[in-house]
Amino acid sequence: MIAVLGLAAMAQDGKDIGRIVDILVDRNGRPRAAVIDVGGFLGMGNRKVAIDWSALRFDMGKAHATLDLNADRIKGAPAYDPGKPVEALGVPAPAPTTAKPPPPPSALAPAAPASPAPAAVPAQ
Amino acid sequence: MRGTEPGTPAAAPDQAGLRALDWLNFFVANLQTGFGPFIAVYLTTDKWTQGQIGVALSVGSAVGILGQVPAGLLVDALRQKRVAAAFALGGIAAAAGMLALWPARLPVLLAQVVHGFAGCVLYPAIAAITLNRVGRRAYAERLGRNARFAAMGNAAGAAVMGLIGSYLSSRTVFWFAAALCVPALAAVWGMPPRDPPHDPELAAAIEAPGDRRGPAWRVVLDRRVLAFALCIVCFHLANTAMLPVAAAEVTRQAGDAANLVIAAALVVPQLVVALLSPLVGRLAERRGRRLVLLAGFLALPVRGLLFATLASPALIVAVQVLDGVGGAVIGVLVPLVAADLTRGTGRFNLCMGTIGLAVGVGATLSTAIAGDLAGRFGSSIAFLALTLAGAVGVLTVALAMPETRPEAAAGALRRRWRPSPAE
Repeated sequence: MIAVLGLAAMAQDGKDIGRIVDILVDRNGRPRAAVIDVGGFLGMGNRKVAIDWSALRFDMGKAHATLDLNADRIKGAPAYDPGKPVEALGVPAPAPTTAKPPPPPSALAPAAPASPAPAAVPAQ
Repeated sequence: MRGTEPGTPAAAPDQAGLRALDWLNFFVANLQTGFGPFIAVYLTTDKWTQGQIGVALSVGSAVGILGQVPAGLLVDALRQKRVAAAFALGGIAAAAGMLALWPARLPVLLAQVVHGFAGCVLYPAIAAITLNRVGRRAYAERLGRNARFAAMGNAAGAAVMGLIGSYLSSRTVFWFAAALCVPALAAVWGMPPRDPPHDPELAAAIEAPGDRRGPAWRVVLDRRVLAFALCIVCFHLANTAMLPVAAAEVTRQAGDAANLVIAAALVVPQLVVALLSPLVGRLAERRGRRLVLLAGFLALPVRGLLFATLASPALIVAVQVLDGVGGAVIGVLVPLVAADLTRGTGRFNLCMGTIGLAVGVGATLSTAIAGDLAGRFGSSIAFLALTLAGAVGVLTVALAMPETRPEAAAGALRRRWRPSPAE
């Protein structure tokens, strides 16, 4: 098992971005977000941001956690404020690759005999 | 350096003492930069929670503020100000060592208390040692030189501690800070005993024996001290939060270059202080304290407005030049005005402690209010609020601050002023 508090955090582009300083859990005790202290130099410019728990990767062999986000997005995330509702930055859902629904039959009817229109899957 | 003819016996032996004073200012600034930023990082890596770290930092801040006046009373009571400085340095070394060795709850809190109080003692003690060594006539200029060496110490400390913290560990930073107390102590102890001032009637009377020391309340409640303290509260109310809010914006927006920009924003003011401080001292002596204070305070609303309206990180570094202007003025004028106002009363350090209290109050309010505003309404609103505070500060200086330069000394200056030898 890995001790998480104080663990260094690295962005997916390999940049060192800060440390995990707190964990936010829901009422069932499941971790929902990590609070990470990012950026800063000699105590100036540090910001705390909340990152969705699903964006964190822990590896037993490494002395840091990896985030599935780029450093710029992490550093630019909304600031974490304990008094306000948490805006946790998460990994965006993958773009849908399934087909669009077929066009209504009426549009196809005049063209159908002339050229075999592709059935449902539009060319990517 | 005190207006004496070069070559007289009085001038020569003090060179060693003044060199030691240079290095004392350098090393003290150096080791103090090692503390603040690294405590939070160090305790985080030691698995302290944010709440616990907040408590430890608050204890340090509280002692640093509440201890100002008692420390001032204490240093006034000691005949040998060097003893006070030496004990303070020992305390800081002990606090650093304790942090490095044993980061448990109680030792860390104890270290914060010791460090906080030692800081309250050290700063006025150095100002008092300086006044004793050079006398009133050369005090302003010498304070400028002290501030120059302190700025170099801050810059060098930030660079070295930053490198140690990045490549080694925060614990090593505290060991290094403890080690820096050794050259600082050597500088204090290596100062040859002070020779009598050339002009006894213009020299400090701050080591007055107990019965000749004026009553403490008369100093603290002096209308001029209170006016100056109010100006200082306004200054720090405007100044303290400006760089942290700007730096957080840089982190948010500047991407890869953020750390470099912040480092530059920290170093540029120190360079400006190192360059300008002797000039500030000379101007304060020739043209008066009020004029110099006004110039320094004017930098605040200008800086606040520029921060509120500019977006580019590179321009932020340029605006930080104004931080250096303000810093140079405050660094020289606080001990100078304190010396002006406590002449003959033996209460110089109490006055310094009162002003130190004002610094702490202004700084704490600044961070709390601006942090809250930045969180709720964004950094532009926070900067505008700080600009307003700066404008109030300028008004306070213009309306309430008396001129404290002694007229008799000013008259003597007009007759006998000689430029100091090149530094």
